[in-house]
Amino acid sequence: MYICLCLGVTSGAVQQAIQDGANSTKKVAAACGAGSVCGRCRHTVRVMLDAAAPESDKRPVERIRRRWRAF
Amino acid sequence: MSLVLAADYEVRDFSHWWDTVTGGASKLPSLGVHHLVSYRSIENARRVFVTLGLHERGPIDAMLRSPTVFDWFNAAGVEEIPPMFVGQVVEKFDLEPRAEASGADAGGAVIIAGIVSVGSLDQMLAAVHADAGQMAAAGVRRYWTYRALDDANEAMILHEIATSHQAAQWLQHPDPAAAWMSQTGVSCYPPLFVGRLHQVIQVSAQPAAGP
Repeated sequence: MYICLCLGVTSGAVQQAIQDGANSTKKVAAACGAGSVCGRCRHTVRVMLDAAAPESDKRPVERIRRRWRAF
Repeated sequence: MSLVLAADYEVRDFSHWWDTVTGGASKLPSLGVHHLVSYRSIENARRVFVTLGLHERGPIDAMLRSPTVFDWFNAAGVEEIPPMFVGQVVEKFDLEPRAEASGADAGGAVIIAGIVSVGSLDQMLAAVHADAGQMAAAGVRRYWTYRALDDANEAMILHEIATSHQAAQWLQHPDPAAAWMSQTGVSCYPPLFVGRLHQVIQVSAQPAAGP
């Protein structure tokens, strides 16, 4: 999946950044660029961060499960 | 080789969104788009699944960051850009030839679509072929598989089921070949999409001139 259209950053690159220790959208942006230009993919990056986080660190389900939508 | 782009997202107002899509269709040839297919969820009237067929003309990165793509989302009021699947068709497997199709026509058929990491796409396709008879009996008419450009084990799978009743049965008791359905909605992957074909737009018959 292409996550960041501005820079063509894929989900694999975001996942690698998270595995390498990026635990916030800012750190992911610094590591691979995703979310560093227009910022409109940060929601997806947050979802990926939540999915990778330990159970104890996960945010409430209703926030994680929010879909990409027009709000 | 033709590319396919796909995105699954919610729009504020479906009719307005479709007006913006058709209104902006004249810009699509400049991106190399030759057709657009839209599906509408039967569970959420604002959720859409859109696929674009593209002539492969250059780096996909340049196409994705083009103002036309952003204009598309802007016009529809979509603030959060959804993840985009970019891939190529692996197989379009027809389990029931169109001439023999019975029951609902394609407009009434249900499309179940998902984008997932499948582990081994080749193994999944082998399972689909092995279970073709059972799937056809369950109402599955077509099974289309696309492989992502950026991840050889990431797939977009669309299958068409003849009727709503059969689709409901299929969702409750899928064949083992459709085990991937339980893996949707993980991380950046959208939840399983269940909907109907809305429109097909043929954008241009010939590849557009390069930039």
